[in-house]
Amino acid sequence: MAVTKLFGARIKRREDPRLIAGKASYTDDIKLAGLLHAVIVRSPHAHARITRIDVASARQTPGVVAVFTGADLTGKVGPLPCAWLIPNSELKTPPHPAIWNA
Amino acid sequence: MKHAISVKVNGATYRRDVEPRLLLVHYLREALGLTGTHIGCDTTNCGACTVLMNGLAVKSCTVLAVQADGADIVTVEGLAQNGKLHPIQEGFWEEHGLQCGFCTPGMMLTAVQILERTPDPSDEEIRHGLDGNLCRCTGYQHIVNSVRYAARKMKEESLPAIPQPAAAAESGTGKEGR
Repeated sequence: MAVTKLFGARIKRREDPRLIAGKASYTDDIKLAGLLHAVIVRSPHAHARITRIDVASARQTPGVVAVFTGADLTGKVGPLPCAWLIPNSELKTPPHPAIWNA
Repeated sequence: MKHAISVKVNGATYRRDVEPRLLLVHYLREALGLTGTHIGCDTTNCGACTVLMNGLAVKSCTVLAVQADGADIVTVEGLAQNGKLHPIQEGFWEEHGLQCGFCTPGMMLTAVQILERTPDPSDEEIRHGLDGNLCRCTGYQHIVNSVRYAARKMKEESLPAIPQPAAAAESGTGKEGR
């Protein structure tokens, strides 16, 4: 009977050596030339209607390269696609637009 | 105004000029490039940034770099000695104590303090000792098993909990820092 190494034996994970040695590269560990940082600003209100967003002072803050709101996405970015569609299924995929999509 | 500090990390002494507000975790990651110490929450809840400072497990996002002036720090990069894994590293590998590995450095350094204080800890003592470290992958049982593995191994081979690095030659004089 064919016995593979995957059955009846303990398997040591091959990815562990770098993880337990502190040598793994997580996103926060990577530095690229010209790297910028993004900050997501969310509404401080649990349930409210956004009527306008004033980004003027944010744009003027030293070091700020760009400020984006939903208005910048309108007409340029469609709803987020469902990551994995089951072929030939009747899976319903409602649209997932950017939250502020006026 | 920057302060000149001298910190021994994993046996090597580093001298840097740092801003007084710089956190120890940023000092380790940004000034020294030791990115094995992770920032999970920034609020001292999760324990991912735990390092040993003069033998005590501290959350390095709650320690200022200037407070570590003259201190002896051990990070995950300093656990293995002469290419040989620390028993706690072996334990995590053998007992599936990790999945994504993000909390693991902090878990291991907290575990080292537990083992330093209690060489043969009960499950309850391990769980109590680790309750400042959060893991969202494993459900903790495998982590407890990992610490028990390390305790057994250290007893069998009479190994110290806190790594004892040979005096390292490297010492930095750079002026980096945030």
